[in-house]
Amino acid sequence: MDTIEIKNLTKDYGNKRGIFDINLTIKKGEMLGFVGTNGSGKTTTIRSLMGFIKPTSGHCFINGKECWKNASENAKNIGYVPGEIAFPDLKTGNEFLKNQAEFLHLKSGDYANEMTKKLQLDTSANLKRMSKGMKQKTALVAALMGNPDIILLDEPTTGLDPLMRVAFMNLIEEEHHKGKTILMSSHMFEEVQESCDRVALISDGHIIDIVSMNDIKNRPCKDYKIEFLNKEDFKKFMELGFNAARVQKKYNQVTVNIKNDEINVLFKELKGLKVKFISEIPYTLKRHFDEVLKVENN
Amino acid sequence: MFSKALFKQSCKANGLMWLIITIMECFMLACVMCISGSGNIGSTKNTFENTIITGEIDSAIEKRSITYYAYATDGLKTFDEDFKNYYIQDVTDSTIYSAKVDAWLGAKPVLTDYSDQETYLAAISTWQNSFPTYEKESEKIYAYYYNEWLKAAPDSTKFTDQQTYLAAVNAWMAQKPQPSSTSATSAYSSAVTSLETHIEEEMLKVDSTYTKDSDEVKEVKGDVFYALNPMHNFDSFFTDNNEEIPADYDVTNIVLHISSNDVDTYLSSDERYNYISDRCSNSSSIFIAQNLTTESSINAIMDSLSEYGITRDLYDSFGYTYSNLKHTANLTIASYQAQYDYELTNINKNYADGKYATVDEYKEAISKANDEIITNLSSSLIASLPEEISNALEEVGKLDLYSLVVGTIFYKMAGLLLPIIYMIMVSNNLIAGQVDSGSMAYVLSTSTKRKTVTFTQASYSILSLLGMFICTTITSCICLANVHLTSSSLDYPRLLLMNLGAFLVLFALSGLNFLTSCTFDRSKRSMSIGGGLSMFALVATMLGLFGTDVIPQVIRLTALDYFNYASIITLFDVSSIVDMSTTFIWKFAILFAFGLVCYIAGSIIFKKKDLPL
Repeated sequence: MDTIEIKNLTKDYGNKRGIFDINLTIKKGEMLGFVGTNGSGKTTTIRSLMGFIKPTSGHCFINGKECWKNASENAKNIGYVPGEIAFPDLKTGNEFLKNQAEFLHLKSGDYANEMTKKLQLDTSANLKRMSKGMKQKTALVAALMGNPDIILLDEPTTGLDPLMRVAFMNLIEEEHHKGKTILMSSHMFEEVQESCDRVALISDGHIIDIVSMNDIKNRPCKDYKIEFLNKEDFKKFMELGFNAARVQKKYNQVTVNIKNDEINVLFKELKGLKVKFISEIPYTLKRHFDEVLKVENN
Repeated sequence: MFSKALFKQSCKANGLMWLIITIMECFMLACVMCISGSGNIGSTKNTFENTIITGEIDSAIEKRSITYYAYATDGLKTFDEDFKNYYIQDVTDSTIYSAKVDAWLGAKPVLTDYSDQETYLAAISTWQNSFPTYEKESEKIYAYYYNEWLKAAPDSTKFTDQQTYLAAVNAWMAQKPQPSSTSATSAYSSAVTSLETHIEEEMLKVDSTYTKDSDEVKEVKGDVFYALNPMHNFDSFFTDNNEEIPADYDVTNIVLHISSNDVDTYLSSDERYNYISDRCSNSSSIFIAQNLTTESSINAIMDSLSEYGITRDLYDSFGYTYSNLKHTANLTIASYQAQYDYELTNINKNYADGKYATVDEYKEAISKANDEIITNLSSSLIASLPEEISNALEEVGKLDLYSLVVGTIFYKMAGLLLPIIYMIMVSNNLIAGQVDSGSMAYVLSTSTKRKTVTFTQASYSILSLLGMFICTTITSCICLANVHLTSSSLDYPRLLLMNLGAFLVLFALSGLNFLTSCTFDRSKRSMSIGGGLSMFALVATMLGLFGTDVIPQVIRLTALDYFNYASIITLFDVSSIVDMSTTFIWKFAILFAFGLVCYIAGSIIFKKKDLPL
């Protein structure tokens, strides 16, 4: 049984806004990245999972339990970091975390303390005066302190500085390694491709594609960009018959697509030629999705 | 169902606001109750009210004085007339009778006519038994006096010489009862009896349910007979009140004028009229003063004035003492006499000029003039004003200003403002505010059910309002215990009901705001609709107040009453609480039901709706 299962989920807000016919499953221990532009339906999907909104049609399940009807029961197993951080009308972070612990019926705050230390979070600060990053961290602590099996993160790193983001992501990855099931939405490909097992792309309320990061990282062929010092060598190379993905005659540049096991052939051929530089063009998620979208639009 | 953590969170979030509002509310209440209870507020109204009330009492006294005086003069005139008639009849009767008696006395057996002592005694006995029989009162009285006179006859054996005996006999003969003098006595007693009957008949004309023993009949009889004071029977009435005992009622002049054959002229003369007037005005004013200072009549007056909030102390301070009352009565009667004389002279003049076709018309004119004088003299302050103004003044007099200020002005309006502001803010903070900001997510992501959220938040809302009104209840009770009220019906049960009413209003309105808070995701919308409606209700009540009957008619704007139909606060019926009628109970029930329905509806809506968290 999949931990999270979304079946034909539709939430129609009218004017083509909302999510339409979403199908998605997340296995236990899997971390899924959920990527899409603003307003593409990421938050709506997560809210459906939390049972905050009632789907127009279709269902979503957590541990086999329907989300809308069993929202409070499911919530026991979910740690949720909302996209928009707003705390209850309390004074300090401590007070808020204590209150949350009470909601969760937690006996000790040890785990929370451990996390605050790791995140270098000063919980005695006034909630209202907290910076965006501090708020984000506090929210993460609040979501994780109950040690839930499932973690739903709605654009958790938005507004964080790069250093903070690293610390933040480390903590999430740590949870992932503990075997937690994680769904993280983001509008940044880099972030998800680094840590997620799989990534789903959502656009205008539709799931465009779901890819495994393994497939992206371990592609059978790679692209290399080569620049030659002179025109003669460039022309010679072009005549060799490599699969050129992009040619820029003006700069004596060419991008070739080489199968992994043919990489030595390339180097052998390049031996007699004067190469200015050679670099691998990584196949990123962004590129992958760009290609998918290109196909889709055509 | 109930989340302690959420409740605690709500307390922490709204506790300070609750405290500030509650302290301000209680302070305001204490100020209103203590300042308006210190007497400043009611003094103008009290002076006003007392003027009206003393005016009313004065008018009652004046009316009564004239009535008593009228009864007394009428009674004495009747007496004079009856006496005259009886006297003339009695003189005739007793003269005939006295002739019979004289004949009987002349027929007394003489000893020398009889042979022996025995037959003489038998003859004397027969003679004595043949005393002329009497039937009429006048004959009886004559016979009585005659017998008394006979018994007093001088005994010849007791005299030593003939000369002194004859002198004694002459003196005795001069004492012989004359029909003219015994008739005066009999006519007097007959006239007294018929006067009593006359009064009973007169009173029956006033009200056919009166009997001989009715209090009213006895009262009028007392009034008339005190004026007459026959045989000094009622001397104690005058002595008890430290008044001079009037001289015997004069009939001698009537007898004299009968013998001089001008009795009718005499009886209708000014001389006789003035005599009767003086006597009646004296006794009537004593009678009314004595009558109104007895404990039982003061109690009766207090009963009828209690609705104006008049206490015994206050009444005593008005100064209705015996001497003041007598003085008032005397003055009223004197001015009545003067005005009546004047009117009568005019009417008589007109009659002489032939302006009245018949005697009946003439009499009617007299009685009309009489009524007018009585109305003018005894008209109260209120009666002498146009009806609308007098109604309004009476209302002001009856106005329970303290209950109005505390109940209507404070609990129904001014005092509601702060709790309503608190309630609007809190209702919004509890649900819509948290949904709008998104902080509700932290509550709902901790396996807290939505039902639990609404139940806990509704509990907080209701309990905090309840706590607030428990504070105002305590404050108001302390204040009421410390102010000394003279004329207000406000007491602890009423005060508790007012606090309860204000709480129920807040309960109903908070239900409405809770409903909007549960319905809308945006604070501003929830606040503007729920809070707007609540404020509208309050403002409508304020405007509507000027159209309700708690506001005296003079400054009432009836058109504004329509606002009361547009406001739920109208169901807080302060007037009904002040009057202790039962209307407020079902209105309270509606308020409670309204609030409850709103809270439940809000919970259901919140449970079913999509949350943007």
